[in-house]
Amino acid sequence: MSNLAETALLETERRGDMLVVTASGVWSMRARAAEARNMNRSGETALAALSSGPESASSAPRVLELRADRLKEWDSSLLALFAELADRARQAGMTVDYAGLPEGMARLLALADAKREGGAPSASGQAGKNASGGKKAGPEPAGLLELVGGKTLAVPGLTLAALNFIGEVTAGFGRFCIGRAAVNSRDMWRVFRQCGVDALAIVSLTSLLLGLILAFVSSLQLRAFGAEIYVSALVSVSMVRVMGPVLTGIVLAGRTGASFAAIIGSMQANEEVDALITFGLDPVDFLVLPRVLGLAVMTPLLTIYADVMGILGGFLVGTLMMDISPSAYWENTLANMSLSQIWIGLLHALVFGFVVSITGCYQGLKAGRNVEAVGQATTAAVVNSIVGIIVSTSVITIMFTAVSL
Amino acid sequence: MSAAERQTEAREGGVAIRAEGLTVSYGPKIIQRDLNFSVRRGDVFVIMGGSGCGKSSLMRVLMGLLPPGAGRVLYGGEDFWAAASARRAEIMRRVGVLFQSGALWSSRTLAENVTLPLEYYTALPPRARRSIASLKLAQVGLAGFEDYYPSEISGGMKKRAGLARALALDPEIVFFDEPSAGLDPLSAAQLDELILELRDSMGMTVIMVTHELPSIFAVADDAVFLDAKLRTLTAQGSPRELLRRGPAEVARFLRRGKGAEDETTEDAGGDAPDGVRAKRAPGAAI
Ligand SMILES: Nc1ncnc2c1ncn2[C@@H]1O[C@H](COP(=O)(O)OP(=O)(O)O)[C@@H](O)[C@H]1O
Ligand SMILES: [Mg+2]
Repeated sequence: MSNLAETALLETERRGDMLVVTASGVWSMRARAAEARNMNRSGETALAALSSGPESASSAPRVLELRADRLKEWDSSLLALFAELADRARQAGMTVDYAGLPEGMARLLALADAKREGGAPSASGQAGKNASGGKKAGPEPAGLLELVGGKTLAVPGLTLAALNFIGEVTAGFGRFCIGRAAVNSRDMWRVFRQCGVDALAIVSLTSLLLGLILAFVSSLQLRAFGAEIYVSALVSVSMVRVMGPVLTGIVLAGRTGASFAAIIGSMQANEEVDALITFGLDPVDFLVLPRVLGLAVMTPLLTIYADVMGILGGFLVGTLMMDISPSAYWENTLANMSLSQIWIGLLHALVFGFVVSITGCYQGLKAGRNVEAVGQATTAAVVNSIVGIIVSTSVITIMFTAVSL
Repeated sequence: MSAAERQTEAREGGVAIRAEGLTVSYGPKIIQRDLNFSVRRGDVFVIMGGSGCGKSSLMRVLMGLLPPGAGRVLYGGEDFWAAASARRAEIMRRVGVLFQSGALWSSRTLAENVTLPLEYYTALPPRARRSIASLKLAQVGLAGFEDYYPSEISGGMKKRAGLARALALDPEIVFFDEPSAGLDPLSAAQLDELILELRDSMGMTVIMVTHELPSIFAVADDAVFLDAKLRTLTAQGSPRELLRRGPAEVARFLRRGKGAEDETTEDAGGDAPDGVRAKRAPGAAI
């Protein structure tokens, strides 16, 4: 019985030229899913009743009366619905009567109405707005070479705070795995796009050229032994095992890591991160995890693509300039390639993905509350990522050499 | 002040937030120490003080962004900073904050700024969330701006949109850091009215920092004064009470704005002492 009284209900009734909408029960934003669906359904029914079919002008209701007779509890969930009903009724030329509502509710509705008149932007402004579609120029990362050249020597070590941050990200990842992290999925998609389609052109160019360079340089040496055919093995193995991942990592550090630091840094400067915290949204879960997960997925994929382009570069030099037959080149490539090389390459890529994303986000989050700090965070993100890439490459190489893979 | 304190003791349930022996500090740098005060439920509570005395920092401690150097912050009797972080997040969900700059999430439209918290903390379907966003934006005078990005609106509008977002979850307590700073006097007065209106119709507790004396006298039920030199709280009471009986420093602070207003009267031809009396009279009368 009591349960029935608590159900959020919206009854629509026709009384002469009046349409009476009566709310009862408990209307709360904190309702569980089933009740929330029920609230939404009642709302949609009422809205539909209001805009129901082409009645003849004489029989159409002229007044919308909103009532709340057996209302137990209410908040903005009901208020928003009433505001929407009132708005729609006025558009249909009806008048709206709040007299049957609790005083506070009537005042809040009147407040929205009063502000609605006047302030709204012109229709043309709105159209222009929609056309421009919200496409915005993100902050451009600074030049890669300049950053690397100027700052490589000034490498700050991993501090306790940085390690602490890695711990937080790991904990966030744990929450993500059990489905308890509020992750911003929109940011994750943005990362996929940024490191996918958007990065393809620069990765194509650089890895193709790297393949060409490797082939040229090694051919000079191998020619002395009459072993030109091994150019193919040299290019493909070095691309797949380290050069492809390193190149991809460095490109991502310059493009994506820098933009992570710039975006999160400017959010920090603008108190947007504080605003997240005051809503109980953890910045690590919300801002960092989607970027870390996004790069963890995209770096290996982009690396595979870079490997293919690098091998293609070597192939062009070998077949067009060194007169190796395409089939011989290809056979030699396959003969020297092994699955373990590919796995080692992908492991590099995965590690670089973490290095770049964690460094970028960390620098952004610890940026100060001013614009200059954002620039410094961006620089630090790129430099530290590149150093991190080189250092982790050495560590991985030493590890695998030790186990002779 | 002691009367007010006894009154609050009498109805403990009526206290929204209480600070006990609170020290506000950044590492070893102490900004304010030994703060003791309570904020009554449903009040508009103003934090006053000179620039740089630590008003924003105190707000950051109260709203869970800056751990206190010492002391406790009690939300409905519960020690906020001693609670587990999940519990703190839960408490913060009943709190809305309008930051000094608005702090809108710049990659989201105004409507999305309001719906984001709803997305995580309610089971409402997208249509209902959008409808709530439209209502909140209409209440702050931004109807029709749902699909604008924060970069496309003016500073005053950002503040109002920030207010709409702060109200997204129908909070019980809202924090405003200098809500009317940077607004023209008319908009500032309108914002004051809006805050009062929302307080009256939603029964919210409002805690705000403001330098604007018209605001203080227009909206405050209760106020504290933070002294920049002594680095502690030197007075609590309603602004009118403080103006009449508060410490000299506080009364001077509250009269300063009156003086500024008097300058206009003076320019218009009146003599200063008369102006001061005339301006003070309504305050003293109530
Ligand atoms: N992040 C910070 N680190 C160290 N000191 C700070 C920080 N933020 C503010 N302060 C110092 O705290 C004092 C109070 O600042 P604030 O709370 O912003 O004052 P108010 O809001 O009253 O103008 C100032 O002296 C300021 O320099
Ligand atoms: Mg301040």
